[in-house]
Amino acid sequence: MTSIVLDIRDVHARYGKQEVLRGVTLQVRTGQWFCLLGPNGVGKSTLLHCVAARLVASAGDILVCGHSVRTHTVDAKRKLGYGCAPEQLPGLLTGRQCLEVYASAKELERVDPEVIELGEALKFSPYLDRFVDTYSLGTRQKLCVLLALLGEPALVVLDEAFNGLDPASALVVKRHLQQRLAANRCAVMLATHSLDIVEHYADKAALLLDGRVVREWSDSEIAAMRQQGAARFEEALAQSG
Amino acid sequence: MLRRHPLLFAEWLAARNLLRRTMAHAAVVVAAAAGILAALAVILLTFAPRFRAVFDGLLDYRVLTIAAIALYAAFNVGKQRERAEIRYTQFWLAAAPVRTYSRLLAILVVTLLPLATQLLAVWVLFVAMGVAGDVDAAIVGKVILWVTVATAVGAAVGWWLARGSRADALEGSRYVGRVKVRAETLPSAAALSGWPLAQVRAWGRPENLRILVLIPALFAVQAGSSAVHGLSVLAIWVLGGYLGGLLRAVWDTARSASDWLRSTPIPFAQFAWGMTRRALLHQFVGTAVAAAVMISLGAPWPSALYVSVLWLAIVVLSYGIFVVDAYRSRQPLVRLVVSFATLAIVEAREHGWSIPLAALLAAWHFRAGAKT
Repeated sequence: MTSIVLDIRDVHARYGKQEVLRGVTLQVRTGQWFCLLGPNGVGKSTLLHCVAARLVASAGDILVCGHSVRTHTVDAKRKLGYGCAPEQLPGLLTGRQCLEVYASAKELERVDPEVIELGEALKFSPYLDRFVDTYSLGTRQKLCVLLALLGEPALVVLDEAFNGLDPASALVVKRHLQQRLAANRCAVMLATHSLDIVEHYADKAALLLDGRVVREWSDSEIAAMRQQGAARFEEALAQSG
Repeated sequence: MLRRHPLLFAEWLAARNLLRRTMAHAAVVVAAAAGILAALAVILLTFAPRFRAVFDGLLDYRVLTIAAIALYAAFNVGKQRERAEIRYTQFWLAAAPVRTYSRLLAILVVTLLPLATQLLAVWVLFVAMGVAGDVDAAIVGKVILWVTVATAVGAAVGWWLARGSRADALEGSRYVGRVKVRAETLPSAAALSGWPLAQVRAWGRPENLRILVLIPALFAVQAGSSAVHGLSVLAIWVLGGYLGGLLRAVWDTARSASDWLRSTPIPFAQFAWGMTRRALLHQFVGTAVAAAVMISLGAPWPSALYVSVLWLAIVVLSYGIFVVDAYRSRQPLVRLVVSFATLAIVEAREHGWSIPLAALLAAWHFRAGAKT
């Protein structure tokens, strides 16, 4: 029996007077690749921000490995690997400095060799000693993924992390995540519009509409759709929406 | 009329929407404005007896005042025009068929608006100072007239100097120096402490500073005869610019760093020390050098020491407020105004007491940050 890594309990969130999340409840277990789907502006990124404690939920609670993001924020963050948006990376630091600062912020004794190896596989190494503001979108995205994977996080949270990545690099990242999941080292929460990823990699998926989860797909449902053919998931999504 | 000028219309809509969004928090805005006005009123009343001397001084050193203001205006307008030119080559309406004169009009408005706002603020401040200090209206009017003329002349020169400048000069890399290529990647917050310094160097690129070089040259002429004097003034000017830039850079970079690192469990002490360590070291060394230069220029050493320690107190207090507010995602303006108004009042009553008070206030702010 795998443990629950992420437990989202009736979470509400608002920007000013506008309520973006209206009671979201979800669970993600170790070894699961969870995909969060939904049209633009329904609250996917807001939910990820709440999970990463970048935004305080107005009601409800989020537990990361049993630690409440609201009351035990630091403990929750220790278990979390969050891939920030590429534009949030500091332009005046180099890629290596970003890794070092992030590792230090996570109180690591060393930068995981596995992450460095992944950087090499992604052909990121030549950019390590260059300033981030000289990076292309794809190169920034690679750095965001590497930062998210530092420190053996139990929950990896990625927001559209494959945008801008070339197909070869995207495949490297997907396989790396699969390896971690297969070894039950973490769970992955990915907000995406790419149904291809859901069909081929996800163990669980949910559709968010107007700040609520309106449909969830289990591992077996996704596997069934995978066997039924290419456009099956797209049709299911259209029916739900 | 605005609808015939798409760039201006877009700017106007953006400004109006920003204002409306701000007015959604009307109570906070009113409270902050009232607090700032109250602090300014207290400062005005506290220093009222000295305002006559301030106006007399400005008139006595009329040429210097006018030249300094004109240079500032020229620098400001030149920089704003350059920014506007670059901005409109990358604007979301860049591909729209906007007429040349309409584009120029938009650049003119965007360029002059900040300076015009500052000039208006100076007018209001001088009138308030005149009323509070019971200064003759003719004297206040004369100072305002000189300031306005100097600003207008400077703005015209700045506009002319930046003509047809850099519309094609897209912002490339903000390259700030050679990076040492390394083989190892080790966990360390050291890079955080270099970030404010890199930011100041990025701001201090030659094209940003070229007009400012004229100011020390002018002061060098006023200061006296020898080349050593001129070089000393130049050194003070460059140092002052660097230290002032470093003060601002810590806020800018701490805010970005906080945003970037918010999803990590970074402790406040590590964040604060990381952001300020090297900036503080540079401030201490730079201030010591500036004090030495001031003494070499003939300033009495107690005065040089007092100014230096006062500056360092301001730096420590500002950094304290900056890192705490950046870490907690708050705006520092009200805390800065209240803290510095308190310092000004204490300093006006007891010369020198603002320094230990600044240290105490900084410690208090740090304590508040450490609680999070």
